[in-house]
Amino acid sequence: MEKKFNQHQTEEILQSLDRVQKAQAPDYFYTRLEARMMHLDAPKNRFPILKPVLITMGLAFFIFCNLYTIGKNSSGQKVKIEATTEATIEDFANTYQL
Amino acid sequence: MTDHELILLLQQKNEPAFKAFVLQYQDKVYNTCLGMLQNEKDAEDAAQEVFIQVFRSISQFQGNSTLSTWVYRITVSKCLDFLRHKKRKKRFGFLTALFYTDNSPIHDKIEFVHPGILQEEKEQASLLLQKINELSENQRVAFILNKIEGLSYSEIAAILSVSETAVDALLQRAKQNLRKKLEHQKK
Repeated sequence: MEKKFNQHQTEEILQSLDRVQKAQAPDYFYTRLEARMMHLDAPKNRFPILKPVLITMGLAFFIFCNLYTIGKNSSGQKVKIEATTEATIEDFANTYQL
Repeated sequence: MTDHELILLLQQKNEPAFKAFVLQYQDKVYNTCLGMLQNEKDAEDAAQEVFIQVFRSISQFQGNSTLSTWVYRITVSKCLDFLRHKKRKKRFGFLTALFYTDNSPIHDKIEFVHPGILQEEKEQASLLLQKINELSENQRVAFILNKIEGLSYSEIAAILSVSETAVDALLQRAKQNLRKKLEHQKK
């Protein structure tokens, strides 16, 4: 049979925190806090040096890709257009027996 | 050093002043965090975050409340954020367990004994702390600030930005709820 706490026991449990003593921060708390704060600051100092280099490299790569694609497409298109034009003229001449 | 002088030095990012401030408040902040989070490691982590937040936002301190009230407000807010984050993490506990390769436990043990509790009351206090976790946020904060941190009604009212009557009502409701929960608890 399951037993439950009676009223007296419940009150005792509720009062169990009345005489609690305050916990103290662990030893070297400030030292660890200082280390954490220095660690948090560290990436911020490194990042500004790397940032312009990364942006420039990214931008250069983007421009190169664009120029390469434009160059490739424009030369290919010219050949195609010329070929298409010659074929169309021949077809036209053949059709009308010129 | 008065609070006003300390605030001025902290606003100038004076390192010795910050050290003095941490040494003055570390026990209060840590004890509150420990009561709220019921885990030593989490409490230290949250207490460190409180001081980092103070260091970063001291320039925004208007002086509308005492420095102590302001620090307690940040502490309570950090602890509640910590608990919400933990709750979210628990929801995805099943998924994390599937991909977890490390043998260390993902979630902390439920039973916690506050280091300031007397030996003969450890079992009862541990059960009470478990039940405190089931209270609503406001009731839990008021109960812990009063019982564990030993703050007066007026101090709690200033921290929670409510009236003293509201704090009294919160504590009464917290006790009633705890009583109900304990009466339904199996031995």
